[in-house]
Amino acid sequence: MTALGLPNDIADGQAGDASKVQANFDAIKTYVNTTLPADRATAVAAAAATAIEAASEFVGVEVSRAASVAVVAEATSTVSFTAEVLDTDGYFTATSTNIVIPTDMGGLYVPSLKMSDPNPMTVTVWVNGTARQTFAFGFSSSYYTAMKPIHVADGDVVTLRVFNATSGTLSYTVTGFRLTRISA
Amino acid sequence: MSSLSIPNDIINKTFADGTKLGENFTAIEAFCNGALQTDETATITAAVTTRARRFIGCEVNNVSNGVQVILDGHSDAVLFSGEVADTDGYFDPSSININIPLTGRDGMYVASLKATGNVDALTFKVYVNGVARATFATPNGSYFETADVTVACVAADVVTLVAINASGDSQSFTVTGFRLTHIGVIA
Repeated sequence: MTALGLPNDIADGQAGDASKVQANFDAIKTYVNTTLPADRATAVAAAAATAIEAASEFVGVEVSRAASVAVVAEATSTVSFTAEVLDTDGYFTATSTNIVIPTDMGGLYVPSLKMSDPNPMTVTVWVNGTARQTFAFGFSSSYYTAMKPIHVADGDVVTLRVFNATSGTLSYTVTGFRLTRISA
Repeated sequence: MSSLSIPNDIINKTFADGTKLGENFTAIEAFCNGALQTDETATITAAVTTRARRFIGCEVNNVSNGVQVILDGHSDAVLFSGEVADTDGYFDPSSININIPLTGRDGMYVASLKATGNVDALTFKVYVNGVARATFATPNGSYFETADVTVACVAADVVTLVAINASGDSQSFTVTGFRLTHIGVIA
C-alpha cells in the first residue's frame, strides 16, 4: 500500500510557520480520506479473491497403488496404497491400507476411483470395518468413477476392498482412489 | 485493529514547542506506514475458508416422538420433532416440513438418513413440493446413508421425508437423523 509522506519536518527552535503545520495536516487528511481507503479496497478485493480460490480448492486425499495385486477366486483384497497423489490435511501415510480422517475434517466426502480393468471384481468402500458403498462397474484407469457421498467422522478409518467373485485369479492396480470433502 | 497513539498533548497558551508537534506528526506517519499497512490476506483467507467449508443445512429427527407407526399401503410424511442442526432456519418445530430459506440457500443438497425400527420393510423418499426426488437405500441407526441422487432446491421449496409401506403389515420406525447438506449453488 501507499505510504504516508509528510511534507515538512517540524522541529523546535525554528521560526513559527503555520503553513508547514497545515501542509502536514492536509497531507494526513488526504492520505486517510482518499489514499488509504482506495488502497485498502484494492488490497481487500485481492485478498478476498485469493481466499475464494483457496476455499474452492480440492480438500481431501488421493492415493494409489501402481504394483499389480493378484486376487484368487472368491477372495477379498484390502488395497494397500503405496503412494500419495494428493493429501491436503494428513489423511495418509504410505504404505498403508488406511486413510484416516484428520481432526476437524469429518464431514461429507465423495469417493471416486480410477482403476485398471477390475471387472468383474467388486470394489467397496469400508469405514471402520463396515462396508459402506460399492462402486458400480465400469471403471477406467483414465478417468474417475464417483459414487454418492459418504459421511465420515474425525478418526474414521477408510479402506478399499476388492472382491473377486470369479473362479479364477484376477489382478488389479489402483491408479487413483480419491476422497473429496464437499462439506463439514 | 491497532490504534493510533499521539505522544504529546498540545495545549493552548504554553511555550511553543515544535519538537512535540513534530513528534506527533512522526507518530501519525509511523502508524499509517506501519499498522495500517498490514497485509490481511492470511486473515481474510482463513475467515473465508472457514466459512466456505462449514456445514450449511439442517438435521432433524423424530426421536422425541418415539416410534412412528405406518399402516400397510400408506405413504406418510415423517413427523419431525427435534432439531439437531439448523444453520439458516430451515425447520419449524411446529411443522413437519423443512423449508428452504428465502435468501441465499438455493442450490444442490445431499440428503442423508439414519433410522431404526422396521426399516427393512419400508422405503424412504425425499419429496420436494409434493414430488418424489430421491430415494434411500435401507437406512441403519449407526451412520448416515446418503440418497441415491442430490436434490436441487430453490427458496421456499418444501422438503419432506416420506416413508412408504408396501410390506403387507403395519410397520414402525424412528428417524434418528435426517440431514440436508447444502453443497453448492446453482449457477
